[in-house]
Amino acid sequence: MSEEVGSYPTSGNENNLATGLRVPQEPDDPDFPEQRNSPYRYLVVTERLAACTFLVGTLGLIILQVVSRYIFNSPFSWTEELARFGLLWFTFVSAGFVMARRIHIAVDIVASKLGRKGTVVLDTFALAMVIIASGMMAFAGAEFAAEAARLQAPATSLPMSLVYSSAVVGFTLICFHALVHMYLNIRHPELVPDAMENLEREAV
Amino acid sequence: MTLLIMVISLLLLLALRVPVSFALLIPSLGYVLTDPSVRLGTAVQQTVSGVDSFSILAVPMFILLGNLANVSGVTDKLYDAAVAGIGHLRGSLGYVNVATSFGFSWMSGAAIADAAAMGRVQVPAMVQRGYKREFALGVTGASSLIAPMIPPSIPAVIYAVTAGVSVGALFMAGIVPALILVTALCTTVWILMRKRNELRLPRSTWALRGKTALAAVPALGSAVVILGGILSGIFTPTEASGIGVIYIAILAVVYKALTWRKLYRTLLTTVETSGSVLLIVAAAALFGWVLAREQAPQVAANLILEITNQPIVFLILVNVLLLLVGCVLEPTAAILILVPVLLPVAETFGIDPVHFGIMVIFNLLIGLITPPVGLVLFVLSSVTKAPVPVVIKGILPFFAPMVVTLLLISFVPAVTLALPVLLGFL
Amino acid sequence: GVGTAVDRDSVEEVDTNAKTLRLAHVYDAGHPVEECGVATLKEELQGSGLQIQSFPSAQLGNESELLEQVASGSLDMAVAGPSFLGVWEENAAVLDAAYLFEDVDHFVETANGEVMQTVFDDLYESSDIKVLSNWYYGTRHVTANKEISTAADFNGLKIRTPNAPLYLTNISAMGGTATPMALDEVYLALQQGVIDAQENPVPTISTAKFNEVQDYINLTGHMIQGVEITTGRTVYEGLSDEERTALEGAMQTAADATRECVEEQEQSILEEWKTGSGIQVNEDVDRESLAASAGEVMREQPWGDLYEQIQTAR
Ligand code: NA
Ligand code: NA
Repeated sequence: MSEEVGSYPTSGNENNLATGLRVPQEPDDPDFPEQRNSPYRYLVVTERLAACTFLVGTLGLIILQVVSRYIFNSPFSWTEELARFGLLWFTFVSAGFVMARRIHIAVDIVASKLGRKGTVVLDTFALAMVIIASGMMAFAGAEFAAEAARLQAPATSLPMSLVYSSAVVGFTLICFHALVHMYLNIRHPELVPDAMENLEREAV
Repeated sequence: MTLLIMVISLLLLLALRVPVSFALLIPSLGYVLTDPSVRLGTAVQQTVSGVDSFSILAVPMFILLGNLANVSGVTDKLYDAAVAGIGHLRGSLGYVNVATSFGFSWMSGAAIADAAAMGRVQVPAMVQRGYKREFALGVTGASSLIAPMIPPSIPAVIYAVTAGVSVGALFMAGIVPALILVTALCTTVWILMRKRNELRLPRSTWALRGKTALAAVPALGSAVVILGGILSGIFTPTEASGIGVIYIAILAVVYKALTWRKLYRTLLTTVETSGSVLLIVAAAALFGWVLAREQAPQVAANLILEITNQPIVFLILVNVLLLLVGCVLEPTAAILILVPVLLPVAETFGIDPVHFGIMVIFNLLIGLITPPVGLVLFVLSSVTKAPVPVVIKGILPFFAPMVVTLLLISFVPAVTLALPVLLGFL
Repeated sequence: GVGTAVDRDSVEEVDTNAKTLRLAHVYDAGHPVEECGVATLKEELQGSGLQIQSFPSAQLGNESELLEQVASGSLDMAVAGPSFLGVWEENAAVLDAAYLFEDVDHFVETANGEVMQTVFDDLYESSDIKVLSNWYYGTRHVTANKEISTAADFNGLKIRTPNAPLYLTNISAMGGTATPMALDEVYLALQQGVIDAQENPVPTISTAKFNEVQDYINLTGHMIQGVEITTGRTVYEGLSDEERTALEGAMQTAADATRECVEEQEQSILEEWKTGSGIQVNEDVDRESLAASAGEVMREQPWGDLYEQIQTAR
């Protein structure tokens, strides 16, 4: 590794001129709550590492599937199913991390016309919606996953509850991060990104 | 009535800046809660099933492939080869811009990735050589739409899965339209540059041309791996995406472009983009399940048949609708919401789902460069520090080649269907 | 030109007073399950106070998802194959075992007979999934670029099957190497030689045009297959006696209609191939030896006793 891995962002804030606070420019830079609270930072770093692991692991399974077909001549019947399950876990853990960075794709057309105060109110409302829906999904998912424990996946014989747990974990993370952001919106309204800034962050 | 409430609440939530994924989830959860026979667990099941697909797995892999290609520096090699090859033409950097995007399009499945990569390097280079900033931004933005038309293509994977057609067929169907787009873009560059005689570089030596071309060849190897693999039937598109990632990763290592830190960041950038897109895919599956359960396709068919029973009129209506939707909604989300409703109607009009798919995708891509919220506009503004209005001004002349390409795609089925038929996909 | 003009009068009528049951399956609108089975069901139920709203083409989910929805009451009815029912009640999968049935009559007798009734009752008891009817789906044969007559001919042959464990077991029990693959990738894979062979009922082979890229259809008849029409406990118990009688009668008629459609298609397509110059029909298949080697493996399965019982009952 050529660069030093520091606990502070390696680049300064370029967008949020209102506060002068440092906004992370790279996906591994800690953001405001990560800088302020170390248990929270450990959680987010775990999400980062888990998501990367699922991504690389699924890639490995795809390659294994090709190799098993052409080199061993008898394909494994379980690579595809396991890769699909890897994709599910990757999706929901990543979605949790994306919520931590609050960059889930949204339509900013109305928000961009509002003033600063309006943006903060709108953002808090959107977070409330996310909290309610993800809380419901996490709750229903836990129940559904428990019931699905008796069913087995056809090729790998893994319990189907393992599959549905990915959604439980993902929506729990989303709900938690949305709660953190809601708290920050109230305590530090200056941190709420402007709509235009959001567009740029989603875009890059 | 239920359908109307669903659609209105979706639009309302979108306007209130609720993330697209949750704007889809919330009305669906409301539906599930109000129907006592439907268990909440079914909502979870349908959400999960949206991403429980081996074909969808190609999406994060192609995102990773594009990101890796970007950091590996292959775009520079493509650029150098293009400058050496055609730099002496009048307005050459315009053509170079299109050519580099065309080369990169064989590795990148999304317009955003192309605009970000090209905007950072080529816009300053063009401005430095005396090109107008507006023109540089316009040609970069417009040519970024080539990437999702040429395989690999993320919208094509999403459409193929949603419509239940072969990913390979859709990949092949995009190639001719992409070539038409390239031609139309070059024509536009020619028209805009025809009086700018001073904008040309000295002619390169054949030695330099050969050297730069040779350096660019390994980059295009990924196209051979992906396309060749799919065409020969050796790989499925998803397997090809994985093999492509490995190929570009090896190339990046050979080019010494990859540190562990860079690799980690590339993976995380992929995580950020995929996490957002895939959650939309998951949520749209539940929304689509509710729409299907309430027979939205039949309702849409009846509505449209009251207006017209002519396929041409239908296609015009769909084009207008998609252009409007594309202005506010990201292509993936728009495909996931609209295709399950519109495709059955298109099929009753005898329109081939592959032809329809390329038309839908290109329409929505135009939305990416359309004000006020086209994402490519913001990418370009962000990476070049040019104000959004300047980007918009630059991109306006390029709507002409877009419209020409769209008309050919919509009303000449052979443009999309000839190649996949020839190659045995249809 | 693009497309064709649409006839506006082809829109279905809805009886607003009848109790509507949502029926979902994964087959497309042109498949006999929808065109003959579901269509007959709709017709037969007219005036009974019940009506069927059908959701073809996996609109509401794949077979395992549909069964989950039926079990939980989110969906009224689903069509699903024995392998998928086997996830809920192991013994139900026996109907998909290789060389279980002599002929279609044997399938119909067994599926509606006492032995399977006990299995279906167990399924209802354990999972709230009620099997209402069994429809003949087709007889699966192996296509390849060579003639296959005995287990030895399968040696080294890569055969595509659907991605369900029992299908893989069936093919390997017959001596082949099974490769799971999605149906829409099979045509190209056969054309390019990625796989050597595939197995399906004749109508599926014809609609997917596999006859264009394969030289022989070998009448192995290794699976005489049906699909089950299922409903959930809440729906079933919510029906009045008259409604139940009407539904059972309609199901019987629909089962007969589906069988007739499928058999008619199987015969006419095979007849066409026999007289045509394309794919060759190989009738010289030693089914007895294939059945013998398959039977050994089948009897080791969890439902092995049931397999034997069904065969000896014939
Ligand atoms: Na470009
Ligand atoms: Na591409």
